[in-house]
Amino acid sequence: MWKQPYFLIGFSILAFFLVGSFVYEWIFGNVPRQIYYVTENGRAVEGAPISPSWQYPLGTDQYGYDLLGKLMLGAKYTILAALAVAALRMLIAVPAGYILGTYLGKHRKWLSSFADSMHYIPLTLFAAYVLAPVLWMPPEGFSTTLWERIAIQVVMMALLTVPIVSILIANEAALLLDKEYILAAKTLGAGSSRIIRKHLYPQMREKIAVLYGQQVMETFIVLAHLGLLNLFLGGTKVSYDPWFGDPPMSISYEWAGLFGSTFRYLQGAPWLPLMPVLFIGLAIFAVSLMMEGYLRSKQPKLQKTRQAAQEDPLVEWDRQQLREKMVRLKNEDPPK
Amino acid sequence: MKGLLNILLAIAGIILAASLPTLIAGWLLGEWRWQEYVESIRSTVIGLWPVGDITFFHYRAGQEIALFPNVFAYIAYSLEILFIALIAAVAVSLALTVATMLLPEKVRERVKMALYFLESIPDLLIIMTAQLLVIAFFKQTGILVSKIAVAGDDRIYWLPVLCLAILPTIQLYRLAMLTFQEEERQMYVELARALGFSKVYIVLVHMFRNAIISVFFQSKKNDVVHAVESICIGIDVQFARHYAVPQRQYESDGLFGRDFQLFPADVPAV
Repeated sequence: MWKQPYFLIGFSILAFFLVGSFVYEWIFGNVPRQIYYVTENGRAVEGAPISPSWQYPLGTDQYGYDLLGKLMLGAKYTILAALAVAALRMLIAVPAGYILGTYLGKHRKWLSSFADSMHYIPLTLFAAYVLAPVLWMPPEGFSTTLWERIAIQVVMMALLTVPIVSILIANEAALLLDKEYILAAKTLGAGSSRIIRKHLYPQMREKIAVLYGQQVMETFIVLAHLGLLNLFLGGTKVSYDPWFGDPPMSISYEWAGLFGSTFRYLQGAPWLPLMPVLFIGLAIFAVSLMMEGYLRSKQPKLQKTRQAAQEDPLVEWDRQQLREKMVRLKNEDPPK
Repeated sequence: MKGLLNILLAIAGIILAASLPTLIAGWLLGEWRWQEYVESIRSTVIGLWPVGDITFFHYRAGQEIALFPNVFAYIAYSLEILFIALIAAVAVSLALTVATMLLPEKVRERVKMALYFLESIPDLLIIMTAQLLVIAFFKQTGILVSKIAVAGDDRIYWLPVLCLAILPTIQLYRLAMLTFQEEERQMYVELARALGFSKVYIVLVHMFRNAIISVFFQSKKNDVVHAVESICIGIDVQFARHYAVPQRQYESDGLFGRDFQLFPADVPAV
């Protein structure tokens, strides 16, 4: 797995963001540098938002904060939250799926049609609806802390699709349960729990890993959608000032918030919403690279056969040799 | 029958979920509001009948509007765009698949790899770049490919269809490639090749007929519909929120600004 270039590239992208985020905060503190206007030869030429330049690679936001700094500071919240949501989801769904597939096999059919109905509810809207009371700041301020809200959001987003994922795993497990070696194991006296531990889980380990990757990717997308709906990771700061109300803001610098709160600058300062989405896209890309690398490392047979097929020596008739042989044959034994 | 049951279950699920904010609001304050939750479900169910009386608060109009005759105009437009996008996605992806199948094996593997990574582009990025491109193109050449902002009854078609179609096209393309390659290993393809039919003929006539069925069966399971739905959210939000009302002021009166509000007004404040 660690020798696969795909996996390594994906892993290093994610690791760069995560480690970079903590290192950035350690070196520069948790407020990105700020500049109100750019001067050239003593004259102000550009006010915030400042477009990307060498000094500010990704430009600044409408208040003059360095966008790259904001993105780096926010990386840890976004990536860790996505990883945590998917991990928690799998932690609940995998055992639930196995229990459903083995112990409750008879009820699997109707339970799965029940979970199927969850497909008809758009996940983003569902999440927005359920999370709004947690994340939208009420007029009197939040009663919870930032980390509490992040934790609540992670748990809720994880729970939202647990039924679908666990049914998926249960169906997969049920397919495996029909295999002959499971029947043999049962005949030899293996109980359900042993079958899960020794047969189902090892068989499905790769599928579960891939499923985890897909869940991480989906979480990133849902986070971005929630950002568009002004529900940011860890809470949306709302100004209830009737006259000079600020637009809804994210409390941490996480990416969904950076994107959602600057979306209306798409025409004027396109780097403001584009860069966070690009970073989200990069994170998703890194996860899919890791998945591909992981799968490749688990299927060495496929590659070997392909290489073998390529190295198969082609029999080329050497015309010169052929002619020589024919001539010799002709000369050596004339038929008598 | 099963479909009907599923729809009923989905509705039940939505009703149960619709009152969840009450429960969560209480939970944040450290109390269990089961009674309010049940009460809220009861009032939701009672409020559902008669259907004709359901109204929603239209922020731009500033008054309550009956849901039922009005919703059809929006639905018709959404469905139009959705179906145009799906048809476009199917047509484009199948055409590309057939073209790719004629290429050598190595190129095909590269294409499949590229498609796998293209799938990971977030839908929002596609939507935003599509808009910026349309504008940049207009600035450069003076040709407006698609309208971006509308007023009144005017409707946009090209841009939303384009945004909607891109991701499903990529997914269908990859799925179709996998299915066609599976099909290529079948005996009858070998036989046809042995009989001397050209590659184009085999792909277009023999393989196409067989592969297309399984592509469609799998695409139902596959997340094409899901992708469409998720992009729909993006598009709806985007076009409704930012382009119909360009000079939007931020006022903190509703969760999603003035244009639409997801929450009934009586959800207790946290």
